[in-house]
Amino acid sequence: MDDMVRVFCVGVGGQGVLLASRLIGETALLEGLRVSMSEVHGMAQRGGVVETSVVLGKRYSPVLSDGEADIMLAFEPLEALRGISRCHSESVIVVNSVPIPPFTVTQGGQVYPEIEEIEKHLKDLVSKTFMLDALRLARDAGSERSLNVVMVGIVAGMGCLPLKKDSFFQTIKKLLPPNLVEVNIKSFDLGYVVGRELTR
Amino acid sequence: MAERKILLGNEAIAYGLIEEGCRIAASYPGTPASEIMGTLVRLKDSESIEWLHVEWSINEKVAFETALAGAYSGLRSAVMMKQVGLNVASDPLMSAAYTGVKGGFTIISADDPGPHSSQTEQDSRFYAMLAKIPVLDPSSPEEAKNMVSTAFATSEKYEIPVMIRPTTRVCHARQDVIVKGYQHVETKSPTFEKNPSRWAATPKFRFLLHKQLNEKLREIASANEISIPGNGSTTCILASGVAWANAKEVMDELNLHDRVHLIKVNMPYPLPDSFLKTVLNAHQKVLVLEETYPVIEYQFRDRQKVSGRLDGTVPSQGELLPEKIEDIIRSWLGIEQAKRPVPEDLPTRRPTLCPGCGHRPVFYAIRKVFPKGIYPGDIGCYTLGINIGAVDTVLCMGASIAQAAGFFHSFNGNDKMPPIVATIGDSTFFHAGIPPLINGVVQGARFVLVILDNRTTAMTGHQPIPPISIENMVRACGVEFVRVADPYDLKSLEEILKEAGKYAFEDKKGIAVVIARKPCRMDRRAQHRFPEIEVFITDECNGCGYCVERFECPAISLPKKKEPAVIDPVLCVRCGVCVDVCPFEAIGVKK
Repeated sequence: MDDMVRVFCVGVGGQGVLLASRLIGETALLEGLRVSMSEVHGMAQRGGVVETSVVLGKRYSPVLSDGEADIMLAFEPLEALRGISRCHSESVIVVNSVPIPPFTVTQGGQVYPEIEEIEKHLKDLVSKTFMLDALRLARDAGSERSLNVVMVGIVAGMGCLPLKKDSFFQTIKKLLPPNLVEVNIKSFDLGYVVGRELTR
Repeated sequence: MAERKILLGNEAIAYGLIEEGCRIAASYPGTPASEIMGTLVRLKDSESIEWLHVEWSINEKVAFETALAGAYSGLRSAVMMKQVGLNVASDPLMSAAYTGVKGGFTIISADDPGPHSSQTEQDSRFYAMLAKIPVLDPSSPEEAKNMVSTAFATSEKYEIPVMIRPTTRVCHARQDVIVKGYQHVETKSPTFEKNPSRWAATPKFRFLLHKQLNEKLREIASANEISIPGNGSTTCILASGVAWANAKEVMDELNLHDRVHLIKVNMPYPLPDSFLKTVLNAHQKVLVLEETYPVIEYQFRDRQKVSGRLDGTVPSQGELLPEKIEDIIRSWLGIEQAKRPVPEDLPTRRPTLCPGCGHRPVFYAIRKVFPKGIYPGDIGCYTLGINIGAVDTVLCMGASIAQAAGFFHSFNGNDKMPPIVATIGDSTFFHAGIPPLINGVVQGARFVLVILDNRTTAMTGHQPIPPISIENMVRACGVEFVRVADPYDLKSLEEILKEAGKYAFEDKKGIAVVIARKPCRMDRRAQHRFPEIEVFITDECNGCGYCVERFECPAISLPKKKEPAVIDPVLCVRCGVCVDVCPFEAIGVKK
């Protein structure tokens, strides 16, 4: 059972969380693995919390339960905090450090925790937590919208996924319109390099 | 050629329909069902499948009746909708169970336990029970696809409509699935055998049809074979759909298969009496896990040994996620509960209208022009007008108009008659808004109706709307005050709303309709050019928060109270509307 890899992605509507999980899933299929994924649509996509999961390996339930995720890709710090219950002590967490404050904060009332506190809290629970400005990497690659591909590049570079870099490139070419392929391959590569350095 | 593809549950169902030779398919969009028809439309086009008629119908009732006629003509036909859409189609559903069908007919009604994107957690399987038709409950995309074949075969064998009831977790799961293609599909010619005592049955014949229906059901129940594992355990869990999949994972994890039989039910209704008796005779304890209502559980006539939603072992509402199922199983078996971290109290995130959405200025203007109004709202993206304080009620598709009339009749003659301002989207207006508008005119109601026309069914993924003039339609309903407004021109929109208010409330002339038209910015197919107005916060900003509270654009935030607002250049789409919102003229335009 435990040759399975369970990935949990979380972020905010519009950040491209769905595409990130599809990128992992389609690449796994290309490499001949069994894949199951879960995602949210509809009302939640309008600026709400978006959660997806990708499981590589045969599985029955479409959703991950508490403590099951081997990898968490968090596109936003607050959502990393919200999603932490899906992880276990040996999980790997990659968090984009750029916050998107919810309206409950910008309209006053609720308080957004300090980023450093979030990072410390995550690290206390899961030692392999890596927080970094992935949005800047996406910007360096040419488009902030490729944040999702940068994030996947990072975990791939860390060697957390049993999938080849070339297969990811093939999937990027398959899933994205031709005019966006170049910037996304560049984004993936940048993430990949950073991911490799993180594990050194 | 067969190949493996990763398919969304809804895509898998669509591939199943095509592989099984479905000829007539009709639907109205609704989460979580929308991608079934979306995929059929796409495949028909990309694969040139000429023998398949597909349509986004005006509503679920029309979709049902259209597809049913295909089945009357001997063709395999399908209708798909979300669970509350089946409410709209429930009238033909009840009757179609009696008339039966010739060609295979499947009703795909997607439920939304949670609920994630719906106004109820209702269980379509109860509709199947009420209508007396069989229902299949898939636990994965692959199974949902395979069940299309079972549904058509059962439907043709017994000449009865068959329901497939996927839930959100199946519809929006992705899984690698074998796709066969459709080259093997035989296309037969339609035939309609006249038989008035069946297709146009009067009450006397309806009694006979009901009798036949009961006989069909008995036969289907006795053919509903469910295997019971035989390791001699005296406890068993009976589960269907995703609840089964989650229970399977939990039982694998806790190593319970030696102690507990896990029985998978694919067709929760009708269950054979013999099966229910065997389950009770072979076990001391039975737990039923199903979403969302107790359909299997109710079919046990003797529930002494049965636990589930009815005796409180399983909560009476909500989705059965794996951790919830684990807690239920542990407590039912008397195993120590798993320790779970208590979730922290974190700032919540609510959905909101997109930056540049044409609905936002309308809600802003309604609240500004009619501050003490009653605002009946409707179903769509624009339900989110709640956040801006300009939506007071959300009941069901099309209800805003009849409720506006109802509020008018309730308050009419009262000293303090509030202005009543209803909102409804273009697609929802066509779906269920036309009869109540005619009715409102006929009954002499007076209110302002704003039709939020973004030229598409946006929330569910941009399905098309009828290419019919809303202005003409509204006039044909008997409304004399009809104006079209551009929501980006806030000042002129406010003027038009004031005129509408004068017509309906001061001059007491009747219903005033304002069509606020701006294409959805998220609709990639919309050939529309939007303005590019770059804005900035000037030194005049005193951090009053009016723009954040009243306009609620995701691109504008107030980092701290009484400090200047900030515009996020990534989120801002440069619509420029906020310039007219600030009471201190502190939002400027970059030249």
